[in-house]
Amino acid sequence: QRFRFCGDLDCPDWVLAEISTLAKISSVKLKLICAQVLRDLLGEAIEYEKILKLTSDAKLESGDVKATIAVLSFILSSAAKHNVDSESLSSELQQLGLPKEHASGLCRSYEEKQSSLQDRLRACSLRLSQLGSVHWRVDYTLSSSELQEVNEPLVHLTFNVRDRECEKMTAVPVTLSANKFRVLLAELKQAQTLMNTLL
Amino acid sequence: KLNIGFDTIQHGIEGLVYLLTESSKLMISEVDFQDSIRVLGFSDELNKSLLQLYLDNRKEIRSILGELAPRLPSYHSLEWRLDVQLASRSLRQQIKPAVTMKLRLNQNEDPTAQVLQTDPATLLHLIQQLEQALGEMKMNHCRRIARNMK
Repeated sequence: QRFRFCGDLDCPDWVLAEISTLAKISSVKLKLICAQVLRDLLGEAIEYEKILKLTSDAKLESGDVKATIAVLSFILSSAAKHNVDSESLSSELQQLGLPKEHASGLCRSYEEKQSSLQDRLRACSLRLSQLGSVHWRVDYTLSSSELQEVNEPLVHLTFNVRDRECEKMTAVPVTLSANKFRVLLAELKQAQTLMNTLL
Repeated sequence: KLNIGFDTIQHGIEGLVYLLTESSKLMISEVDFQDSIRVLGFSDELNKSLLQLYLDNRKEIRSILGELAPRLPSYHSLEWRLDVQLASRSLRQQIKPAVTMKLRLNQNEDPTAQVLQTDPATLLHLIQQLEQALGEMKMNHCRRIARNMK
């Protein structure tokens, strides 16, 4: 059977297996655990001790606690990835055997954070490099070893590029004559107009 | 304490290490081990304790030796992205889809990444080739070999 939150594919076996573990926790505590898992997905620190306290009533082993976090992480991020609305998610989770109160608690937490989650996933998408900043300076060349009177303006540009992998900034310096710079600017303005038509 | 020269002790240790690693590597039986060391002309008691040392540590030595083998980079994860090129400096009004991938590999605990880009047709061909490779596992030839290895 195909599920939207799994990207219109079958639900993975391990997720099915852990649904019964989720049902062991009370629905109120499950909603609080969801809030913690959402914090982790949004890049904030997860408070593992709080989760341990919340699961202590259900008498879960340490392996089960980790499995609970893993399955909630999967459900929430996968639903956000495929842009599933919270009612559909709730009905699909109930089809998998999650009790109604648990599903609705989970989906209410999901609904609150759905757009932040999608923004975060968008930011984490594959990106090779990123422009950090641009610095410029305009000089005026008076004279050189080749020609006594040059009298030409010169533009120095430094692009600070950040490599997504190692978070290192590389500086790329470029020097252009006035005419070359005008060409560059005209081309970039054309590209910007094209980008604006898409926004 | 033993009142022997430093060199002698070093040679002795190296000899013992060689004896144990070679025997563990080749997984030789008790009988073969005993026969091999009998040539050295040690006392029976020493031969017996050497044999016991070999048998006790054989498994551990083998597992350590197993980890020394050179390893190829192994798959860690694949990030991908689907883009469409709409225009370039030379040509406007284009529609050119491309898939950009970052293949993350692990080589001896060192993570490396390889960036690849392809058009959808090549990607489909790639998928088809990989599915064919997976399909080979189900062929009779592979099945026969897998059965014999068990």
